[in-house]
Amino acid sequence: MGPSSLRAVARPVETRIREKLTRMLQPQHLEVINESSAHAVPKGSETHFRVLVVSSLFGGERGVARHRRVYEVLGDELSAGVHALAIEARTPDEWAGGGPIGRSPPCLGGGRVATAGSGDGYLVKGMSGVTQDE
Amino acid sequence: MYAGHSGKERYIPVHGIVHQLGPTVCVSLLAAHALTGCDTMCSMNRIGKKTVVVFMKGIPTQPLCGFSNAVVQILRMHGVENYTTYNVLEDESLREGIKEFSNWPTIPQVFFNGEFVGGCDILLQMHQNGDLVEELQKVGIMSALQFDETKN
Repeated sequence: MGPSSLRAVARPVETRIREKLTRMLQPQHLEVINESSAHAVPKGSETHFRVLVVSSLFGGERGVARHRRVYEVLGDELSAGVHALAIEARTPDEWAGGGPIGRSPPCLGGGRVATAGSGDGYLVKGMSGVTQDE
Repeated sequence: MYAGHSGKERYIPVHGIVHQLGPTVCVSLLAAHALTGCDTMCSMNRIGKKTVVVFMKGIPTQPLCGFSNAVVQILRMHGVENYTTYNVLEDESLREGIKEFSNWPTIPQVFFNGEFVGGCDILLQMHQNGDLVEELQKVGIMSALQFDETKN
């Protein structure tokens, strides 16, 4: 069994997400990031993901419609165990001038663990382009 | 069930109504009521706390999820603080009902005048590209960042 097959076995949900998005949305660029380690879940979980999908299929659609399309593709995963799915959905033209995939805000425990602080320092890009970081 | 005062009781065939509406609608009813609630007149007149409704984890002063917190922060930046929120962690049926109602699998969910706007990602995108100022204006809310935008 080669390295990529081993990775597929070790990360089955991530592999399925990647395969489905590739097959259904024909992306020009695709990033699938497992963010579970940043959340209050056991080590090795595949419950929180962020995806960046660049596809011409998004042309003519606005944000909600694009996200719904991604949610439909990954419906089974969302029903089975994926708890959070952050989405960046762009057309190739929009992506041409774009930067790296964004990052998700820090976990505040989801009610499962006591958290210190309110996470007020989360990165939110203001209208002037100034970013505020923790 | 029986409803009404003495002499004016009414029999409401709840089981029959549930059967007619079907499971999907019934699951969504709680969420739909949360959106309009008893402030229907305010919603219809496009004023009041029901103009902006957020289904989130936790409450605005103590969000329990980073994505919910991001929504609260973004709204705060636009000067939107007097709005209605529902903590889905306190009510599992509401949590599932709102997902069914809006056909959207994640929390938080933001509504303007009963219309689904999106989750954290979409609200952040709207904030960054200036659309959020415009969308707030459409529902009668002047964003605190409106004049910042016109300067640029």
